[in-house]
Amino acid sequence: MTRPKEPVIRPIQYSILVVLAAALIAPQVVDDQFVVRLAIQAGVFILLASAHNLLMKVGLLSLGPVAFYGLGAYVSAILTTRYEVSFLPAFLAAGIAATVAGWIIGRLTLRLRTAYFVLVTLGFAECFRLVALNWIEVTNGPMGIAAIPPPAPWFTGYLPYYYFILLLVALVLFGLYCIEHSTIGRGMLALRENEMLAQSVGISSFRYMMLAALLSSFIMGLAGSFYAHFFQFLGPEILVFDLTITIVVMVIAGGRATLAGPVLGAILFTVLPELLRTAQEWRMAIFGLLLMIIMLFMPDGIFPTLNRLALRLIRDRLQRRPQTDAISTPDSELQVLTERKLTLNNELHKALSGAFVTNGSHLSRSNHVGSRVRLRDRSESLLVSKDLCVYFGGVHAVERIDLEVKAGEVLAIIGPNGAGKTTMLNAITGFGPITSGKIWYQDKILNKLQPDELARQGIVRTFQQTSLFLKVSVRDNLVLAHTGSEQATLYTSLFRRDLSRQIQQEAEVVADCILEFIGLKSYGALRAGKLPYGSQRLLELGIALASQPQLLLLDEPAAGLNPAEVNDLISLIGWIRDEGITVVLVEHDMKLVMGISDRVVVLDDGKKIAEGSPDEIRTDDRVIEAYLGKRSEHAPNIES
Amino acid sequence: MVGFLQHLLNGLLIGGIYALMGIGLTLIFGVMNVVNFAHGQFYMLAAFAVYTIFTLTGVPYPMALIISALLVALLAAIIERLLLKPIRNEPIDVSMLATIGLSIFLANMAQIIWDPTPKDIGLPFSLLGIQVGPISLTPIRVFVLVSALLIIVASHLFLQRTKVGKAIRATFQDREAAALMGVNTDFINTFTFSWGAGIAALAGGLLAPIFQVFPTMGAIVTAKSFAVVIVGGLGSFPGAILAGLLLGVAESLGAAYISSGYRDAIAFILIIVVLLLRPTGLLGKEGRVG
Amino acid sequence: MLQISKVDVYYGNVHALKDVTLHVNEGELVTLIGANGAGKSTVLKTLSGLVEPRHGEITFLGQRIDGRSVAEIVRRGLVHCPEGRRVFSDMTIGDNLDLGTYSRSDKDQITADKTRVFDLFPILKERFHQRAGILSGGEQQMLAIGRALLARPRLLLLDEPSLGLAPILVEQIAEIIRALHLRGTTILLNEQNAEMALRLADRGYVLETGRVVLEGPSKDLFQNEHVKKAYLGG
Repeated sequence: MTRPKEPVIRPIQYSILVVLAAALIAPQVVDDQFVVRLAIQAGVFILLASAHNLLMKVGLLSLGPVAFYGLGAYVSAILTTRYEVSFLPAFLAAGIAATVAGWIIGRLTLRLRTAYFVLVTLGFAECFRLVALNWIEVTNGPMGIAAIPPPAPWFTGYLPYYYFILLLVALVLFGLYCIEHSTIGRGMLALRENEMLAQSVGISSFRYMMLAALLSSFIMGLAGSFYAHFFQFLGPEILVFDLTITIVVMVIAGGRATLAGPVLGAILFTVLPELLRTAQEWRMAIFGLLLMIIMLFMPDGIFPTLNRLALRLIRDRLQRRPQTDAISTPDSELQVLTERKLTLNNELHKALSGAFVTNGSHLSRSNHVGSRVRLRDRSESLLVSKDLCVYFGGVHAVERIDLEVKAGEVLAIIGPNGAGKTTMLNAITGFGPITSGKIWYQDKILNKLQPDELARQGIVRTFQQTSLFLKVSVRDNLVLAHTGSEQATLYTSLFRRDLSRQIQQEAEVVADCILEFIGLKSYGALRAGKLPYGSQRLLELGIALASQPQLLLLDEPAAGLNPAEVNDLISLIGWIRDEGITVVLVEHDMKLVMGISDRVVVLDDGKKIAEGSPDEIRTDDRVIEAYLGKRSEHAPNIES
Repeated sequence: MVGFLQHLLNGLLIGGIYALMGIGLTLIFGVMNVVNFAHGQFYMLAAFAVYTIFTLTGVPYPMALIISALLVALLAAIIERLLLKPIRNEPIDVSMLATIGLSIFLANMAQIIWDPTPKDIGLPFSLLGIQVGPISLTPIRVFVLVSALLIIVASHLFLQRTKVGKAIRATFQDREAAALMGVNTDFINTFTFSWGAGIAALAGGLLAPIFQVFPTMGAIVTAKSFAVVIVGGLGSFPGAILAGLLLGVAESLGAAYISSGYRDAIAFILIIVVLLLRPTGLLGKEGRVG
Repeated sequence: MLQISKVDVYYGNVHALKDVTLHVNEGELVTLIGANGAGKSTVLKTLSGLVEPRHGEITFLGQRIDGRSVAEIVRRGLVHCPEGRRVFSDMTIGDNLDLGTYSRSDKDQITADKTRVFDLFPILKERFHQRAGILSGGEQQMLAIGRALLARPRLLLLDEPSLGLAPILVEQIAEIIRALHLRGTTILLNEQNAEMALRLADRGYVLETGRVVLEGPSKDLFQNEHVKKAYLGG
């Protein structure tokens, strides 16, 4: 996947091999035990920082890593000292215990918003520390647990520990790399960039965040166990906040959400304090200062910023402008639209209908192709609502509305501002509450489902406010949108990398088809944030299509478009309908409504006041009165 | 029973201070939407300022209190300009990390400047308690409680009734629209942050004579301030007051009747419980953070 | 009264306004029409000081205002009623209107002006103590205009007042704008609803992708082929 910010340079792979080889040989060559010990410390921090970074990848900032690390350490220590369990089971138990804790805390806190999540994780960490300090029967309190046995009797000196941690680091980093370049990695990126949009195309924020939390705590638990058996003494003083800050600084400075960032940060901040021989008391003050400076000047992290600067210098030196800048933003909206090829081809049809199958990817497709029943018969109901009510406080935003959407039609919902149109849309797509009443979709009740679950069922919406993955290229926006309909499992990401690659290629093909359909092919590599307004709205439509919807709900798609663009939108929606996709349109623009709708529903003040064909509605007295020409009692006094 | 009342009263007195801290943070977190992890450090710095001024010069205590608060408010203004203003439009985790960094920096610098041993400010008031029925009240605690109440009431009135107060509320609802009314939004930001910090500083200075001061006391105060704001409900003054008193009493009774080792955990437990069961807090409206 | 000369505005790398020149005379109602993204809002934001031009000059009442602070521009009488109403929803109508007077200190005049605003929009007086957030779209627009009027504008910038309003309300707002114009307020109007805008205005400018492509009396623009096709629905 093309990522404008992280250049893919082939030499990286060779240098990794070189580094690995060096790391293997180094301790044989270097005689200084102090250096080896430092390397082991760095290894532990690499694990901690990388694990903590997983949470950053899904946009979670946690101040609780010490809790999992500590839990792993204590579990392993207690099992081996008090219950004479051998190392390997204790090691795994540590990881599992931490994972379970991560699961519990995750279930409780993942739905909280950012700042609250930070506070709660801090709270858990602090509570854990107090428990470790006070629950003397189990943890020995401030005295700590001593004489923790080494992993094996032959673990003498530093070397065995060095190779052990090297193995762990290599495995963990490789695993993270595989995840990054799989469906899961893309899903995480989408969530980090724009959570609401990601959910609307079927990416489950809870699921990915939980996955990140579980993996993260597992790795930390293992790291804790390693520490306990390396240091062979364990006390509550390892649970101090300073350790959390150290980990956070490593991730942030190194470059969060990148793979190499935490590694570089961990090495840097393990080695540097030793080299500078700074007094302990200054260390934390400097970290604090560093955090502030990084946030002010290099919020992405030191290494990514330096990387970017270096690349820009190189580019300027070679006097080659990068591809993204060379594509000038289209000078006129009309120009963009005329570039679209108006032919529907086989590929596009397959892309939109989700029947795309490449060799061997049956596994990923079969499930949801089966669940998408193409209803060609226009009299069949696709979506039905009965007695739907949505109340906010005292306001009856939607009052007992019965709605029926027939398969394959274009239904418009119109009405004055505040009539309840968007509230209804939100209720159907899971983005807003339902006070009472039911909604059925193909005989399934929708009421309690989350937006991402609904999207995976085929109900996809667009938003009134421009909603894109702004920092990512136009083409990648569509690739990311496809992620929601991919079957993503950890197993696939880690152990079936061939399948991962196939799924990615598939996604790219779908993206290309849709790119052509909406007419933005030549802007594929442009950052989405740089598109002009009209093209952005087209891209939003494309994103919705990329998730292979069966029912597409458009929220004021014509807002801000000039008449020529509205005409084009009419054609687009027509083609979408021809593909068998049902469209529901919430709109103010009468031209669009009259131009493409099969049926129109009119809402006023939360109630349905009329329903019928566009012509019927246009001449309906009640509609005219409520919407088009009633004299309001709040009319201003103009005579003064 | 007497013991219970005494603990209750002590809890209310501490609670008054917690309420003050909560008010200050409500302004910064609830109104400005800045997650200020350094809030407790303003409290700590003011306490040390009072200690330093009081012991070095002979300035009377109330004067030292006010000077300290002004100094801390000034420091906060500088911090707002240099640190917070440039990152105002960045996503929220940037400002969170920045204030976390600030908090650590201030705490550790304080540790370096004044050494880590706890300090006692000589009490400027008589130590003798006045007997009110079965309970004993020391003048200093009465002073603290009354001052806290005055500050809270004054702040509320300022925010609701004055021109600047309305400008503050407007700015944090819709910055651009407020600017179009002629409001100098940069000034409003600096002022509000200073004001919030100043209240924290007053809290620190008021408590300084009662407890010892040590450089690492800021962090736990920050946590408790957040507890108060969350339990009370974001942006709600009455909520902060109620929650502050609640926390104070809970801690006092909990430490007396259950265990004193877990005293500081009560704040965290409250945070966790409230966020899980009733995220908008006791009296708050829809939370805007995140 | 207002003169914009050869103004260039950039949002980062995006060249939002290209060499824009236009003027507004005292007492006129001038309108800017064009699609979303054409730059109309950018013109208004540049005038009110929210955005600074990279090149060019803006003169208001004989003095340069480009580069000056928003607060100062308001004090000089150039008031921007922003797009999307932007009322302070958690504050009462009364507080909202008070904020309109933030830059003024002439107490007596303020009271008189408030009376006039209430005459114009009686609903605001009725609901004086209610939170602005519960008003309907049309009522919020009235509040926004009333608030702007209380800043005593010599030149009033109206940014898309009809946006998101049902057709019946659009008519009402148009009536209000016409009334203000007749009373002597100089207005620069931004509108996507070109029909409404050209009916109200004396003169108009058409913006496309940051450039002024057409200008003239609104009668002429109404007849213009390109305008008819692109903005008046053919």
